[in-house]
Amino acid sequence: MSFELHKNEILGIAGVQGNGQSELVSSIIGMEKIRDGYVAILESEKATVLNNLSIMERLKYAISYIPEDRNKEGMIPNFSVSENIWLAYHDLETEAEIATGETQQKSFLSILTIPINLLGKLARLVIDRFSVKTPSSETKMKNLSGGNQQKVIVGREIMKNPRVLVINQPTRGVDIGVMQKIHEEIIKLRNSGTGVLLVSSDLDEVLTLSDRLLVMYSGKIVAEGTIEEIGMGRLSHLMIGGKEEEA
Amino acid sequence: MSLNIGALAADSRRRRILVLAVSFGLSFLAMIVLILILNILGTNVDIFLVMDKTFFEPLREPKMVALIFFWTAPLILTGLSVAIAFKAGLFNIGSQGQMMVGGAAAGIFASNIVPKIQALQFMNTPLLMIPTTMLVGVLGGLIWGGIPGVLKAKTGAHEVIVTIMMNQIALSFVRYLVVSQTYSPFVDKSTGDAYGQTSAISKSAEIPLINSSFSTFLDWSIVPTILSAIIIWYLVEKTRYGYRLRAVGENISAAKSSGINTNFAIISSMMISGGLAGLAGALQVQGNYHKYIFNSEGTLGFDGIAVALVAGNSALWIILSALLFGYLKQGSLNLESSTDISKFLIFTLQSALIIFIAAPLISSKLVSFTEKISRSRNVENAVNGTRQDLGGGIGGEDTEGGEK
Repeated sequence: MSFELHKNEILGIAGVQGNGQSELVSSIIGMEKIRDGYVAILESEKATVLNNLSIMERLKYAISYIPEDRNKEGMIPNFSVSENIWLAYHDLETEAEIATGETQQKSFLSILTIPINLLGKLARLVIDRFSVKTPSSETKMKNLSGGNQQKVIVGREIMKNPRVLVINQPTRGVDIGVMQKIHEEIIKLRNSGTGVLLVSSDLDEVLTLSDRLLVMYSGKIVAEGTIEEIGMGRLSHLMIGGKEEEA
Repeated sequence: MSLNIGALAADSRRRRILVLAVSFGLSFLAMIVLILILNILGTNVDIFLVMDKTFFEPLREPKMVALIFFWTAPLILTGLSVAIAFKAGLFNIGSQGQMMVGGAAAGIFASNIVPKIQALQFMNTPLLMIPTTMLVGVLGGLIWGGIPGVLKAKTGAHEVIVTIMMNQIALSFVRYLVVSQTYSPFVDKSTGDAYGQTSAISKSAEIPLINSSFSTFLDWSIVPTILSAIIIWYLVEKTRYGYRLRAVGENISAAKSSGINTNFAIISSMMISGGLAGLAGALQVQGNYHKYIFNSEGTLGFDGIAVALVAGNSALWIILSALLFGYLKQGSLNLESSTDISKFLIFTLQSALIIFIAAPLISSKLVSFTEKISRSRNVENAVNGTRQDLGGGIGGEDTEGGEK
């Protein structure tokens, strides 16, 4: 399969779950090795192939990743909220400083230790902007409700203001209010220049958010275009593996 | 991680201490029940004598108090060794072997290498020899701990299996190095019939006693030991490295997807773990025996697992937990030496303690149960209060309804 993701665009992947969407995003972020083909970032005539880069190096190219299963990959239940937010910044201090507008004093000890102040500031920002309901930023993540956990995870990635956001199931198991908030923030991020690759098992979500659609069936892209171009009937036909001519 | 002590770690601190206290009480009870059963069966064990010799006499005599600290030092190090690996989600059972290799390396270095090589004579001052010998011990343990770490990270070989096997390899390897007069290269050859030990280490590598009139056992090695505990605590709780380590231990997939180098965390934590156990071995050689004696570690390496378990893998708690185990060890030795009761009686207490802590369900259920009783009593009092205010009657009907 081959596709491009542009700036200022939300590219949605429509497909029945289990047709290779998760494998696609994990190979983009580097959780799975790419055996064939390549993932590259193009910027002003310069292309960077990501295939042989580690996950950290990819994250440093300002790719952000929100995994499908927050309990499995997204968060550490026994860590506090602020420590969970730090998970996205532990090696990206500049981003953290930009997000908080605060520069850290560099000393030997500060290179060694966790910058507690920065952690607190980041946590405050995420909690305020996404109205996370938590007693404090030091509350353990496992004591938050699923929706609030998801807000923390989405919040910390969006605060990084990434160039590319790869997001798998942004609103699984959250209530309607949280869903709306997350949708708003994704659109805001798109408008500020980020390219968003959106995978969701919720077709409505994909249709409302996406500027362009990829239809995936059994590991292949079977159609590409806006929803108007593809057409609703053809989309649902293709999603379940129908042949093009039968549509 | 398959060994679940998460339930213990997750509870609040106050509750954790409560659960620990209850566990200790229960294991104490278990020991007394055992003694009673033994007495019914015809042995004549005096409970009060056991109590006195094990728990009170070690505290009365200054020499024995010193011995408690003497046993505590290596237990702190092996406890830390197990704990730091656990922080990265690894169960290092190899502290025993790592301690053995570390001790042997330090002993051989200070007895056979430095004194016999002319070019190294400049080192033969305490200022250089004490730290380098310690470092050699750390290196020995570090290599022995690093091998399972590398195997785990690169091939996925389970660290429990590998460390157990490494213990066995350490035993055979060190046996080859120091045990036999016929084939061992580093055995004490001065008398011709020495068995299982190196010749005495260079005087400059010895760690002096704190006060020889107070105790002929307690040496200054308690200082680097306590320092290690503080450093490990700082490393795990406060540094970026420690944060990544804990992240890997808590949820390796989340750590990986946020770009943490999980292989580095696994290998380095196993190396630090081995290094700490190796330090324990080196300090025993330098402070106590002044030569490496084969198998002089006893079970100090394995006891580290229990120490770490009781302390919930927290570096500062390990100091207290090691003190408890040092106290019990001294108590049991005192019991055995001054009466004809076996020290293994106290071993049952330790074992029961480990069972109650490894399976915290019994103790924590007991704690919750008492908490519930006191809470319901509070509610009852409150209800009774309102009932009196309302003149009775209404409350009674409500309770009946509730019961249906």
